[in-house]
Amino acid sequence: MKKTFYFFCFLIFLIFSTTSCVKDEFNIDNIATSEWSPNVAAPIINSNLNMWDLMNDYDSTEVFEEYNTKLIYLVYQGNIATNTMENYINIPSQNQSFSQLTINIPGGNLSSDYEVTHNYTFTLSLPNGMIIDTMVLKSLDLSLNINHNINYPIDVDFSINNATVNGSPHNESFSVPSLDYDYNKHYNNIKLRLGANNQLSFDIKITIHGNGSANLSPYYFILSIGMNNFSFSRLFGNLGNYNLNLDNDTITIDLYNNHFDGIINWEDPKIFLNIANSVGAPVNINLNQITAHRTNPPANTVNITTSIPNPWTASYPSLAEIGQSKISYQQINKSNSNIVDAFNISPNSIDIIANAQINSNSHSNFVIDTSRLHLNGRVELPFHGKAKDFTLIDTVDLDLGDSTYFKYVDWFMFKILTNNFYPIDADIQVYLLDSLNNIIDSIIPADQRIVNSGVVGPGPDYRVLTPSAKMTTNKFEGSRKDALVNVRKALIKAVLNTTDHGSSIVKIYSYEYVNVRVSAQAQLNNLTF
Amino acid sequence: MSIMKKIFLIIIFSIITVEIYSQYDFTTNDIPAIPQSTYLNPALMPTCRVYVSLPGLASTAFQFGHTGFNPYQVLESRNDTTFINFKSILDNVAKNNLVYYDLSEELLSFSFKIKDKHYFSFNITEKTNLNFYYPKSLMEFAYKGNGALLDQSITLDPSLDFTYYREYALGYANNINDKISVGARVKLLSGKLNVNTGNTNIKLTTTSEMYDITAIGNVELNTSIPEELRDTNNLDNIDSLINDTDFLKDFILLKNNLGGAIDLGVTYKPTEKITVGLSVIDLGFINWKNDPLNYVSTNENATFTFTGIDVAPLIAGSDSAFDERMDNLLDSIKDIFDMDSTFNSYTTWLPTKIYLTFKYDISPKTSFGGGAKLMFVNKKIAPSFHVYAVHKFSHIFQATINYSIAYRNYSNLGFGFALTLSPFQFYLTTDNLLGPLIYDEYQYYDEEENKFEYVNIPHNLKFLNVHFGFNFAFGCKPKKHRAPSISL
Repeated sequence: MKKTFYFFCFLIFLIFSTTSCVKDEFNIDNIATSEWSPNVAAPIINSNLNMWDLMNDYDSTEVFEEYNTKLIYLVYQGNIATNTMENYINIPSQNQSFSQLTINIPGGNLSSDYEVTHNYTFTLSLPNGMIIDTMVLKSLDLSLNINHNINYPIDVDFSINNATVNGSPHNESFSVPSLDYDYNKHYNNIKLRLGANNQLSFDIKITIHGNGSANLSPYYFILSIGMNNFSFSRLFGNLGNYNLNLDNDTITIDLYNNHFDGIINWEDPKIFLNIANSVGAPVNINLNQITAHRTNPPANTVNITTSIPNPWTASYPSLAEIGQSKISYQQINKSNSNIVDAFNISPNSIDIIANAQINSNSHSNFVIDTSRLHLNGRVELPFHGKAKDFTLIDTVDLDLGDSTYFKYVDWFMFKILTNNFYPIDADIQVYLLDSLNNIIDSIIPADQRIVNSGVVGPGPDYRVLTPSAKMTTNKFEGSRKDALVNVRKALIKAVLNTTDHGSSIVKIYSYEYVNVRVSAQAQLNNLTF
Repeated sequence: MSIMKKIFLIIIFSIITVEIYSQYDFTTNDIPAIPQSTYLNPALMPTCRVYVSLPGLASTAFQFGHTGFNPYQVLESRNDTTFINFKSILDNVAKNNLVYYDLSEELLSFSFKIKDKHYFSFNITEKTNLNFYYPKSLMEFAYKGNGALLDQSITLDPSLDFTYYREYALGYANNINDKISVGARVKLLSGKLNVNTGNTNIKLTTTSEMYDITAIGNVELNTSIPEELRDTNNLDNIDSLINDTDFLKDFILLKNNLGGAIDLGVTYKPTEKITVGLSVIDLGFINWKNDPLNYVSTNENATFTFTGIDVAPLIAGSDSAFDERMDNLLDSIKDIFDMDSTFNSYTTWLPTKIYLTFKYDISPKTSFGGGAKLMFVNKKIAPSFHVYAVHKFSHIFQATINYSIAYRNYSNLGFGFALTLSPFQFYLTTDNLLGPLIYDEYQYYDEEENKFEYVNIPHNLKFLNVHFGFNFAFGCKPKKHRAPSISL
């Protein structure tokens, strides 16, 4: 059995390995290959580019669609906000020393306990005309100083009327071991209910422990109260008046970043000003200035004047809505402003300068420490209008490689097929530049540059009825091909006109796109392996 | 590039550098003294009455054929070095090209005649054969590129069948009368190894408009290989595997892969001097049940058209979404062309041959004739033809020369002889005598040695075979006929 197996293994091995023997004797790398010049062709790109893609807005922060009509619109927005109210409302330290209390202990030497009670009223001094009903403090330092001449041991019960600490009535009980004694207490959660005109009332009970010593009355007893480091979590009452600072709000219009020439006439541009107010009091918004700025040359500025109320009183939450923000907004549009003129300069930004004022006028107002005012400026540009020679230019790095590989390429050819579902004629060219920005060549032949718009139906919808197809080919060979080794940049220039050379109004919908297909064919030459 | 070059050259040299191949083919068939000549037509009867093989040496046969190109057609010398001319490869390959080799070793055989009317034979033979088809379009695709074959459906699928099996054959021939002989050989086949591409077809089309590339593919690969031989660790340590008696016993006596085949033949003598023969050889199959492993396309006629990459996420500004889309694209391709692994038995058919021969006896010692062979492999036909002359110098020595057209090669000069020193017989035949003898010298520059070197490569390697062996032959001398005595 073994012999047979060996024999056949040998035969099979012989057949498969004879070549190995030959190759061992003869290095096959020494045989050259003659001309191998394959022609290769492949599709490279096939993409349906919708407006989200074209606007570089994958996560949909700038391009939106109307739910019903599918009309899409650009949104650029900026947000500004006030600081939180705890940074605006500062309750100062409160100190008051009460007049001397005279204590007469009847009889002779005191051998048992003797109690004295007293009530004080403390008027808090609050800024900006605040008249507070209730304070909920997340921090308060209470300091009591007692000065007396009582020659018996005494204990003190001190309580702030109608105040609770962590839900329990306030009370501090302590012994007074000396004739001049300080007692300090820190509270993390204390609620103070104030009487009329910010008044607090205190009760104090002094317990004198008779020990048979001589009764030297009348005695004096002086109480000084300090309330420091107020930090509120909620304030209820009339908050008074505060000016709130708002930073300037700049809304960048990215569409115009690479704008070079031409114009888009937006039919219905809008600016929405949204206020989110969590201060439980009337707030007035003063719109000091709204300006459209063009920083691309030629620079230009247009002040946007509007008839919306100024100042404008923002809604505020009721007591039942504490912790919530109330939204109110104003819309600046073509019917109440010169916004169309402002956007005709192709602005790079819209600047909003505003401030706000709390005008509290009721005891039902409130504020919490985190209350603040948010102002959101939102520019909406529905794709409804017309564009004339709207020119965008951008430059990207592009290195087509070194001559090592180019020498193997006899020629290569691009094919670009577009099916345009947009109502826009696009004259697109990609210029290939060297490191000194000299134009070496261009991708698209001059006579094949324009991608025609789809055929647009009648208004008011202006929907594209049929797409427009365009095939572009460009072949690079000879010296033209060889020159491409010097390419270091590509300058992309797109001149956009809405249908009928920018003379007709169009709309762009979310379902519209341009299908771009790019294929390439190359004749390779003198490859070796 | 260097790897591609090596792969390509390995393929070429695999084809052109096998030095000797042959089998009991035309030339063997031409010499009636050789008992193995009957393997091409079971109706034939050899000259001697009894044959017994010398075990292990009775018949050793190699054959190689390639219908594509010859080395001299694709190698050329220019400027002191040797080039592979790709264009010549294309010019010289056929629409479908077969690389074929066959080797066999007869372990045991004997045969005997009874009264020149009945002929019985038995043989046990180990056989391997490999048939590898590759289409011209595959070479065209590699050489010209898909850009030169726009709007054409490019067939890329090579097909492969490698089989190693043992044949137990019992033959019987009968001279029905002076004109007609018939014969049959029944074969029990025991398969050892098989690799078969089955129903595999891969096509590629590139459109001219936007170069969209469509691939259509069905892949089927069936294998029946003992589990021990699949394990590459075992292959790396083949000695220990060979010393494993249990494995050897199982492998050699492997009985799960059973099959059967039949050879049928007939000869007819319309005149005293003319004999025509027709035979069908290896009409049969093997059912592979031992350790089958199949790789099959999950989707029949899986089709995928590549129209380009969707770069919308890149333009929109999301590299991660682009990566995700690319992953999805690759997953889609993988799903479409996914392969299932199964363990189902399968059947392969032997490469069946049909032989048509004729012989004209010019004299009792000299004949000439011719023949045609059709080999059916993988639903394709490989034809070959030959003419020959055979001379019986004595009952000791017979020799033949012939000319064959085989595997698209037209310069095959064959030679063979049988030397019978009863009871010993030695024979040697080949269908292409000059193929391995005429070499072309090619110069190349050896960069390591820094000098020019030369390599000799056979001029014609499209069809080569050799067949030789030893037999014990008895009863080779014709009976002497005494003149009838007349008693007065």
